[in-house]
Amino acid sequence: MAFPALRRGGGGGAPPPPPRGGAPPAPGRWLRGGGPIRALGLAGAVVPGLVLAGLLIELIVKAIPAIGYSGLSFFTSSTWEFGEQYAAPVTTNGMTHMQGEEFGALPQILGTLATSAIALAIAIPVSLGAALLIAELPRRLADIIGAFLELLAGMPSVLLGLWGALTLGPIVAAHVSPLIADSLGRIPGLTGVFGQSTGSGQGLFTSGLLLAVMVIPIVASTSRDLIRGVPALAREGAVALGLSDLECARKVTLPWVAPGIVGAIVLGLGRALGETIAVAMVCGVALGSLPTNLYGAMITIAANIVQNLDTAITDPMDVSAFAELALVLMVITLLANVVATLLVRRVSGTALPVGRGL
Amino acid sequence: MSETTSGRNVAGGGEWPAVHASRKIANVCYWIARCIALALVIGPALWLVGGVLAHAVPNWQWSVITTNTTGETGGLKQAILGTLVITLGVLIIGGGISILAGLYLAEFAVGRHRTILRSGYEVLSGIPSVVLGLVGYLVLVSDRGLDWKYGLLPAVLVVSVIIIPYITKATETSLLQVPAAYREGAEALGIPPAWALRKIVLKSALPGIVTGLLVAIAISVGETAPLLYTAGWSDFAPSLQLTGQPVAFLTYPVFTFYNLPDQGAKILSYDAGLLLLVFVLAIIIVGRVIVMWSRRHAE
Amino acid sequence: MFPLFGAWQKGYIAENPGIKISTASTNSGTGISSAGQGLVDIGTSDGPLSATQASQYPSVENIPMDVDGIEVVYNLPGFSGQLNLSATVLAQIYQGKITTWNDPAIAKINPGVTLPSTKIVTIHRGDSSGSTVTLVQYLNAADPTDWPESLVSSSPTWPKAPGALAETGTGAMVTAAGSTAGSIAYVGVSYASKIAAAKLSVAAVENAAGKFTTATPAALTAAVDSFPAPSANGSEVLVNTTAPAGYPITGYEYAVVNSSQPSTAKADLIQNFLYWALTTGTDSSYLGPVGFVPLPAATHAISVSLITKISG
Repeated sequence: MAFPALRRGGGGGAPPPPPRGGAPPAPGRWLRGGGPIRALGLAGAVVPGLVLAGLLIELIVKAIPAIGYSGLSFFTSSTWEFGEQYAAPVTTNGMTHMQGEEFGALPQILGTLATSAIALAIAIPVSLGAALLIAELPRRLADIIGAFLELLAGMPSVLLGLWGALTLGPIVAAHVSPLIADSLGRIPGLTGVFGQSTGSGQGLFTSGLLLAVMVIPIVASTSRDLIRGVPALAREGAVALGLSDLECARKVTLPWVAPGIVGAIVLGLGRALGETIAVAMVCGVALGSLPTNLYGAMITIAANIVQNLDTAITDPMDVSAFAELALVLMVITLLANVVATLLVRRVSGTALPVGRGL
Repeated sequence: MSETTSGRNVAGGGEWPAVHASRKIANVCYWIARCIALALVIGPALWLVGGVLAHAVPNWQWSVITTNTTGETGGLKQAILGTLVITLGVLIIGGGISILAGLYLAEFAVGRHRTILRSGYEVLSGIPSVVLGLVGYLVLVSDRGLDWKYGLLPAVLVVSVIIIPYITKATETSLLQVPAAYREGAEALGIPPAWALRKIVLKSALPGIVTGLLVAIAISVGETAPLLYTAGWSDFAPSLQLTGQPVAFLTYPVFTFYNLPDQGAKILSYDAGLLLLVFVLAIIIVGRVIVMWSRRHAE
Repeated sequence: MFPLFGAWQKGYIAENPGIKISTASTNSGTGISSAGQGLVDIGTSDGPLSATQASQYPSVENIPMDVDGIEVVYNLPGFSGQLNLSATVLAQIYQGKITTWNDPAIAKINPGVTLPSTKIVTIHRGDSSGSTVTLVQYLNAADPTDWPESLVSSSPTWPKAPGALAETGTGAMVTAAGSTAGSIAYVGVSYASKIAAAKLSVAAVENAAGKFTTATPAALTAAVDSFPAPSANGSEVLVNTTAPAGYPITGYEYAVVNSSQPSTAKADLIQNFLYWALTTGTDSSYLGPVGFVPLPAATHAISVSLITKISG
């Protein structure tokens, strides 16, 4: 339990799926008494809510100038300019700002979504496949593998970024990208995405790969625990009926744990959306343009904030734009959580009733 | 019932239908696919650890631990001390708040009250650390905020906010696992709630709480983005001055020195990576030891 | 400026044990704003304060410490020899109008050499940089048609050249240029040893007299001597010199300090260090390895008067 499923970096907010067979009995509650500890506890418990409120207020207040300045072009334009620091400020619509300032965050928003999408596309099949195998291995071996998963889950993202920038990136550029470009890139219609220039190893594909490496431990370890929880009776019944391993997995195991898997995927998505440092080290930091294909340099909201806050703090309007970026990122992560909670409920409803009462 | 001689069904005069080849092939492919998936899961971990070791160990000098950084050369002593001091502060402030919060949520809060408070920290856990770092900078460090400048207190406060959800959840979960019988027995004996909590309930929940604290240590050792804008960077060991004195931390050299042209700077970057790796391994091992110890001593 | 400050740090501490100096390498924009906000005691910058920064932080002054040159470096495998570049060619390269190394415009100013047909990859600073300011001031001064006034900034709207890379910090510029074939970048002369280690070549740049020069100490001195003394606040632009032997992309290295410090003790500490840096610190043992040159006498006097103004 050293690294519980609620992992750092992003949306760990999805509630765990309701346990089968009913909720555990409620423990005793101290309805009165407890004195100072009760009061202190209440104080501690309201801290997150207060911090959250303060955060939102601060960001919204700081972001208002930029919201007024850019309007909708924030979400549609691809040009991001910090403005001419060496010219005199001008005033538009009552707002003072530097000349040439433009805040178009479309590449960053798309970059955030695209890297997470690629990460999940790679991580889901790999994690599920690995989890299905680990759950069947002898305990000793599974524990050793579990230790590796914990190590990877607990790895500081800056180390993963180091590995990504100095090892993974060059190998992707030299070997993997040309391979994909030669194979998938030849399919007509997909040439624009997979083909043409294979880039320098710093771009969308490498970022997606690196994020996948970070998401896999979360999804894999949670899935493994869930799969282990499938009652032996159900699986033995499948074997008795003559199902092969694959068919057992498809028809019994996976439907049983489906809501939990969706929850695990959402945890991974949260991590991917919020990941900052590792992506900043491999994305190529291309602020003002969309990548031309899968391997092109790009940027995400989080990577932009961490790389360019230095530059932005010289000018209040730039800081305001960054506050707006932070708000957008928060909204994206919260939306992902909400969608996930709804998905979990929906999948729970359609999951097999087999097992209730076992 | 049919006789099964060498697997053939004699009743009805036929044989069991042979297992279709397609099912067998599909099964074999399934096994292969899973093995590949497992290799893909473990591979990067091994590769990464191997890469860091390969770059850091050959150039390792023990002076890295005993000297401070000067510019982009030297050692990492002040960064190690800085990380330790920040982590300690986070455990005291963040850990204190979270344990109290977890205690309240598990023992005293009921119904809607509880759900609201819980959703508070669950939403907080979903906020990316870079956003918290940005707000920490704007509110605490910047001269348009509290003007505390780079320092220990802004860093500790921001990282505490990041880890509060984890420790709170761990505390709450482990307290909920303490059997109701303990509390009921205590109340039956006339023990005041605060006493019962302290001496009986918390003691049983301690391993889970400590595991949560270990997660918090791992996070605060490994964080970079929020610390960049609250702790700053320094070439000197941290004094206990809370504001106005920047604090070094171990993830900074990895992020800032890795792409500098100076070979010494790159080596420092890998050395810092090695130290981080050692920290994380130590935390995992301690976590396992605690789990084993608690299993042995549990009733 | 980072390598020089590192050397100053060591030298000053050796002479004054008990003083602690901590340095970090960021970009010039941060140097200025951090000094203004009081996050650091001394910020440094390759470019002077802009009008806005001066009005935002009125008590902050920029003090010239020495003279620096911005070199244009390139990574062109298969080509050995010195490349000549003019402002027009440079501007068009960064505009994306010249895309290959064997473009006729480049060949014209490099008679008698065969240039490979490698694609040019432009590398620029993504963060707020004084090196950028000096370079674009030169481009604008020498060729305003190709590089208009609107592109003169510490973080301008870089035109979309194909494959252009943005890097944060001088060190990253050097690393990126070293690992990208066909790349061109601009780096301060203090990184000369790193430039050589990364196997990059240095270009000769055309000055206003039509001569192609490199950033040698003699060329930097000739350039700065060809300009009059700066104004009393220390800011001056030193690009596109008319001196035939002068290097055209030259500028002052500024120490950015808040002239009103929180205490007299702090003010004294800072003043002592800056006086030391202006005298002992401009000795050839310090400036030699970084390739800077000391200030001309008139500028030196202005710097001293600016340091005297620091009070607590």
